[in-house]
Amino acid sequence: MLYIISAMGIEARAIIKYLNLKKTTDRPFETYQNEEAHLVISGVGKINAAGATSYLLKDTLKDLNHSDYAINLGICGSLNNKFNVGDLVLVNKVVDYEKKRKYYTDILVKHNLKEGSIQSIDTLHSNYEFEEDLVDMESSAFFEIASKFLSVHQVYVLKIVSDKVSKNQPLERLTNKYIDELIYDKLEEIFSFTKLVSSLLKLFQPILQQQDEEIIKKISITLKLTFSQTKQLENAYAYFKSNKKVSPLFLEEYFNYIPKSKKERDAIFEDLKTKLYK
Amino acid sequence: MKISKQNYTNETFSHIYIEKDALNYPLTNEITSKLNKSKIVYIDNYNEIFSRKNQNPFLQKLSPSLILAVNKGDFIYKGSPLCHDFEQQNFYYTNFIVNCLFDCDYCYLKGMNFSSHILFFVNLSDYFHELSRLINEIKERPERGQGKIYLSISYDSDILLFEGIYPFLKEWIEFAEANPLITIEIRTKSTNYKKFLNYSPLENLIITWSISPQEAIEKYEKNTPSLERRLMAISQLLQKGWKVNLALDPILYIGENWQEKYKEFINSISKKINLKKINAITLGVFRIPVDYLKRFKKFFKSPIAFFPYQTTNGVSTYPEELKSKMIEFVYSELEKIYNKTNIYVV
Ligand code: SF4
Repeated sequence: MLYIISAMGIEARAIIKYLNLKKTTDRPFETYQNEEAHLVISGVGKINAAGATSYLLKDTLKDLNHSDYAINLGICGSLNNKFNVGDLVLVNKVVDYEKKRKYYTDILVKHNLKEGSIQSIDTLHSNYEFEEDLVDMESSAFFEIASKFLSVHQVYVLKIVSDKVSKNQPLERLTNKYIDELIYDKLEEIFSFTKLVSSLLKLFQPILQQQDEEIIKKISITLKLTFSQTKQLENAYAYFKSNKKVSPLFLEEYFNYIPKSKKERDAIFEDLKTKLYK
Repeated sequence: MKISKQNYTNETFSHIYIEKDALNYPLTNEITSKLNKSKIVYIDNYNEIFSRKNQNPFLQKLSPSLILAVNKGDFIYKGSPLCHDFEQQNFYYTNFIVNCLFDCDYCYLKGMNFSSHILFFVNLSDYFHELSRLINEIKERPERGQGKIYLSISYDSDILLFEGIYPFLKEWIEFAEANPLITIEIRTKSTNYKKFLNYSPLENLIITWSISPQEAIEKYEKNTPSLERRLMAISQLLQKGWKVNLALDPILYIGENWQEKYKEFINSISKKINLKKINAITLGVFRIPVDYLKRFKKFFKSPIAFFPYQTTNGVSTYPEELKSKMIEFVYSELEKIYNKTNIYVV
């Protein structure tokens, strides 16, 4: 599942259309979804971004889904001449300007996007230093929270440069139409990147899949295994599967076998383990 | 279960993370100019990347990044009891490179480190400085062993793999030449031996090749050279007079007919190299701290992770009976063809 966090409705508009997402809730955050993607509109600033990220990702841990990934998508300012207005940038370093904390994306996927660093701020003030390439108001909070739920290679920040920030000039107000077009122009690039990430994530699947866990659970219940025996069964099951590259489906024979005593259970269990370790 | 490099994973070293302090070392420049296609990201401290908890070392193996850092901590460590010290009291190890591009299923680094990215410490001169201090300290206190130091320098990596981008060999060879009280050991599976031919063999520099039956190499030592190629590299260096050790370590349980396979393996070694010229052979079965094994189970899909090991004092290994059988068998096969006083069991 792809999780997208955008600060403003206008940043999300083109995405919602492109992915054909349907609105699901209004409060506490506006969310949209379909079978493959969930999107939340967080509102501007770090606190909103942290809240919305955590709201969106709260279920992923429970489901142990290694295919999940989260992206903070939106516009940003550029602080130097490395990037031009309209550039789509995959962020490789996120700095929380106020907290001085740094986060790094684990970029294991091969891509053609430009890469750069970003600093996230609460407010722009006269002493503000330009330390990184880009600036926004959400990505550090998003990264901090998202990487508590997911591994770092499952967390990305994609930004489109909307304007150049300069120390002497006040920021211009950007029109909705302008922002919508910026995002619209980059949709293809954004979603070919997400496809690559999704393919990479499929490479890592834990050895025990849902079907395996169900078999283990069923046997553990019918044979009345102790906690420690169940753990041993899990290990033996994984050993079998790692060696033979298939699940030990012969275990289904034990589904209906109810032992008459602990002694009998232990004997069956030992026999079962021997078979799995063979 | 093996995973292979897919065309959507990044190249090795697509990214180089550089500590700002590392920019002061010429080696940093040298390395980045050799890897001039890599993207550079500046970091404050290597642990920001290397020690993050929520990484997947299994996937990182497909696309490792490089981290250039300055070691500000300890340079030399006392050897671990899990390793062999050749009865030397002053057994130390050091690591200026951490992690490896080979991908052995049993590699303890995968259990120890949170990341599979490769870490280079660029302040090699500080290591030599610290070592000289240690040598002097031991010289002044001969009651501490025989006044000699045995130092393994490829404990946390297969360093020879990186000689092309981190040219450390010349400096270590010069250091060994100037300091006869120290014996340096380089442990490897690589066949990158040609650099040694630029130098004269040294009495106090030992190259230890880890070798395994070809079947175990194919199954459990991904990306490493075949047994044949390793034996070829060994025989080249032996001919030139270099000191070579063999490590049959870890000996692995490779199925019910492991005895046959190990017997065949030992025979093939004796055919391909002149065992009389081998300085020493070490033997040890697979062993690993139990906490590292737990991480194996979380990420890896190899039977090495799930074998029913026994754990004593925090170290997991084969059940005692199997372990003794394995050691005894391999030992007895070896002593038929090699002087047993030079066989060491870990
Ligand atoms: S060669 Fe050594 S360091 Fe490299 S992966 Fe194999 S065991 Fe680990």
